Amino acid sequence: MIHTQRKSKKKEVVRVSLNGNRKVLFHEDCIIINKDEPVVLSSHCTHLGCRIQTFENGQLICPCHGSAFDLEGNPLKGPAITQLKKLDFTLNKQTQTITIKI
Amino acid sequence: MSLLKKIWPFSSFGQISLALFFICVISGILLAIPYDVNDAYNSISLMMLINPAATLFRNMHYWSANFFLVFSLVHIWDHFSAKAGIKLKSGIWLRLSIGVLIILLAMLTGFLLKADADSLQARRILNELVGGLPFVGSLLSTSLLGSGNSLQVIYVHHIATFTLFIVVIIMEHHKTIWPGLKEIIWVILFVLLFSVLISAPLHDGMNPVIKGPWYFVGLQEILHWLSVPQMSLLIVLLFILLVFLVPYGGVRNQFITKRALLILTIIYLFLTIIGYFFRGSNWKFITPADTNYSYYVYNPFRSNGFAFIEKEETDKVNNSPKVFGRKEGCLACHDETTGFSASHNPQALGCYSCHGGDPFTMNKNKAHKYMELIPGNLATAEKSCGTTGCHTEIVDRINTGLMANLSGMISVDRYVFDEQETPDELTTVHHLGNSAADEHLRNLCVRCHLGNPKTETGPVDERSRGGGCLACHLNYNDQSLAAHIQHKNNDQDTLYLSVHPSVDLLVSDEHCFGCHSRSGRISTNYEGWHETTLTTEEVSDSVKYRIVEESRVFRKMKADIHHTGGMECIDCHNSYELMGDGTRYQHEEEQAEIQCSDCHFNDRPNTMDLNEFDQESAIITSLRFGFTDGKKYLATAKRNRPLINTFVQNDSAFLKTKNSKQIKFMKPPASVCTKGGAHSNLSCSSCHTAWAPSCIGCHNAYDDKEPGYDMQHNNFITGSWVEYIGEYQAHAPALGYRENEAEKSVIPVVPGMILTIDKQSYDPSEKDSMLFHRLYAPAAPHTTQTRGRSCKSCHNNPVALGYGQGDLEFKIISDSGKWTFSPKYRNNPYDDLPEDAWTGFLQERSGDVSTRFDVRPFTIEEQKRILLVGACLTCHDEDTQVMKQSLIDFKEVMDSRGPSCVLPF
Repeated sequence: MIHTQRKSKKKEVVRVSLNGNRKVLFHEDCIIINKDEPVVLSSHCTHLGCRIQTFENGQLICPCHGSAFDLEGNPLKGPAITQLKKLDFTLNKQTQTITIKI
Repeated sequence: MSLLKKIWPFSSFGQISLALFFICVISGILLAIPYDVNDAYNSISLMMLINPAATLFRNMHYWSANFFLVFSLVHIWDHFSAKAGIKLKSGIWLRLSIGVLIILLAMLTGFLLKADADSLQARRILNELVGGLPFVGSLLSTSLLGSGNSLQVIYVHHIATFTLFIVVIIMEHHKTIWPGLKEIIWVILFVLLFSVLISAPLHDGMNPVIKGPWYFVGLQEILHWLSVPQMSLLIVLLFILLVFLVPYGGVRNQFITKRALLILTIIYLFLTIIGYFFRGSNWKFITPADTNYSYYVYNPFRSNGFAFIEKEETDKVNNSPKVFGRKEGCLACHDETTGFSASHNPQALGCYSCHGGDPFTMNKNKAHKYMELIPGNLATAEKSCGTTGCHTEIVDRINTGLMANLSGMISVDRYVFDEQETPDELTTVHHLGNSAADEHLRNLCVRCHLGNPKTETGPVDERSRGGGCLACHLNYNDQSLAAHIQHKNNDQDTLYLSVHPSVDLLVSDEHCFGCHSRSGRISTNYEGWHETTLTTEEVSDSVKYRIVEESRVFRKMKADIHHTGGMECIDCHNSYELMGDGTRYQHEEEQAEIQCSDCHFNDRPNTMDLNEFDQESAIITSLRFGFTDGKKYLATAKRNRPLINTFVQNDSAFLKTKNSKQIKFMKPPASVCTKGGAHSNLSCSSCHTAWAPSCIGCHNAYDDKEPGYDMQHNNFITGSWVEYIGEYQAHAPALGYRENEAEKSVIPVVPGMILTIDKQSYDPSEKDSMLFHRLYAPAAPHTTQTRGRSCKSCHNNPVALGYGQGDLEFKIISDSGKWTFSPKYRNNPYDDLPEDAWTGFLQERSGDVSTRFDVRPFTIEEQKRILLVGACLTCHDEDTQVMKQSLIDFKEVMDSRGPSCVLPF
């Protein structure tokens, strides 16, 4: 059945709890590296945009074509050759929440 | 092609294609009724669970579409190879050539409309691929795929834009949209056959393999090699262009174009085969020889099990929770099961993520057909505990750990059987051959490894061996245990189905006991039990003795101080030691990470903040202790990993036990440990070990009539190696010297292998094959005591010095001193040393002396130095001032000794 098209809801801001002590947090559009100075990376592989959701042997791995990245987003293994995009965010240390602009 | 046409009952491939398209359209219209574009994945799972008619239409839609693509291509090629050639107007032929692309797009949009894991990633890829085109990329991407997560635009293109285009081009070149009756009947039967037997694929959301539709898997393989992915679009365009060019030019040009097209197609087919059959998770290369190959390659397809669904079942499915964006049938039936840990709540994870089976059916047999009743066995762990989003990283590395591969044990055994040059070769329990040593291992040793599967339900107890993840993480409470026992006694009892055991982090000493009460007997030592050669009939005192596994008799000894203090195995040993850390180690002492000095220190400790933790330690800390920021944690000196259950406060170190959450103060070493540096090269355990078990004088022979057990394959056999044991003893261990680049220290050792092996009994062709070895092994006895050994326990003890038991006496005759030794045991004829000795009294042994190349007995010079102090201790008590002073400056004490002091050397 065809539904009337809902207004596309583009995610502008994502608020994420740092979830205790987890070091790497995967979300739909971003990967949060939870450390003293957190880093937020885009979860879109720079090769073709596949969602990266695997952390193996210290590497972020793309499931579609096998690209691997380090926790700074630098490519370690192709086919991707460019760094994962670093996303802007604000950190509320009191509430341990991170707000990310996507 | 001509042969095919001769046996082909239809007028043309075009007619077949048309019939397939007709079925595809009709089934698509029927499928659109239950399909919900705004909850696509869930609506398809619901169809598969409670709507057999919709499932059949979906399958027919899928199979007719795929065969339509195949037959359309065959139809085109058929015309290419016909003598008459293609006699269409240029405009129509152009639209037909573009039609190939449109058919692919129609199918691709159908693939995207599943909205499962494959589809979601494919949409991202398409978005990036099309959006990355210069100038028109963004416009094209939005027009083709829409924006956000909505499937609306894709849906419209699928059912309208592309379908209409296909209808138009069919009409243009065929003049009618209606297929022939014969074709339609045969094709319906053909499609029905496939649709009844094999369902249209749907990703389960757990399988780590992400693949496009089969006709784009070749492109996925190309993209794996292309760093500039937009180049792949040129390949698609080239294909369409070649199709268009075939009818043009002279005969020669047409031949070249057709050959180019053929070569391109063959290459693409080859890449498709590689991509489809030889690529697994993370696009890693796999072959059918790899374990779980079929799980990675064929998983999205399922056999069908159509059945009429009762209303009650429909309600159950509708009321069951949505898991990973879809329904699964398991939760409709098993809706009231309790007992799970919070981390494994089925309302969030479902049943399928651990137990497999088929989540998209209400047919009980089909749902349970490929189910793992006992998940977590290492052979299948990547499908259960190690599935996507769960514990993938651990399952990937677990076989690097010695508890899984047994490399050290196997290597030492082969070395002792003279089958390899060193005891340090890396190997695995899965690579045992047929040699004498390997058969010996299979008969007597290799039952204890994590890969040994758990095959029966029930709690882990002292009879358990292995069991993969469950070996450590399975826990039954009173309810689940009672239900399990009830079911064992009466298999009709189903209470066990509603009380599930827990899989959690409560790893108790009982989990370790089954395996670690053997060989080095660390578990029993730790709890203060020493194995004897007594039989159960000989003992009646249940306080002094304990019966293990119904027949092994253990005698009460002093327990390890950490055990007495309430600590369990996992309070010292972390996840990387127990589940491997990705590095292969030759022996257990290399893999073990914790050292006494990590917790008991005088200097500044090695500490770590929470934000320096690795991912795994951080997660485990969070699960065990909640959010615990702001603490200073101790870290191991060996690999700088956090000891997550420790903290440093006001310069004192504390430990919080992982299971019972008791806080313990961790004492620094006593001053005597470091006083004067006299004992600076002694390991803590060389002094603080209360006792260690040992056995001496065993003989090994193969008996081809002995009823035996193949521990590798878990089956009873006839013919086995038999170990004729000597004597079990328990006393303060001998000491030896470990010397390598990283370490120079005195360590406790035990007579690991003083034995004879009759190799000829196994292989009659072996002549003069009676092997004799006198090897001691480094030990980690786990019988720590607060107070270290007395001075005499080492300096005046023949066992400590490696001579074996006997009378070691310092005699002074006529102002001259002399050490003498009378062994308790007779000399062994093979090497003329006492049976239990490691080295002769004031003799030196080197070479083949230990199960490690870097461990040896004391040299003559070292023995003399030890015995020199032993001579002093003969007259001076260890608490006297002179002996205390000797720790600080031994030379000064020697220089200032009186005339009554008589020395041996």
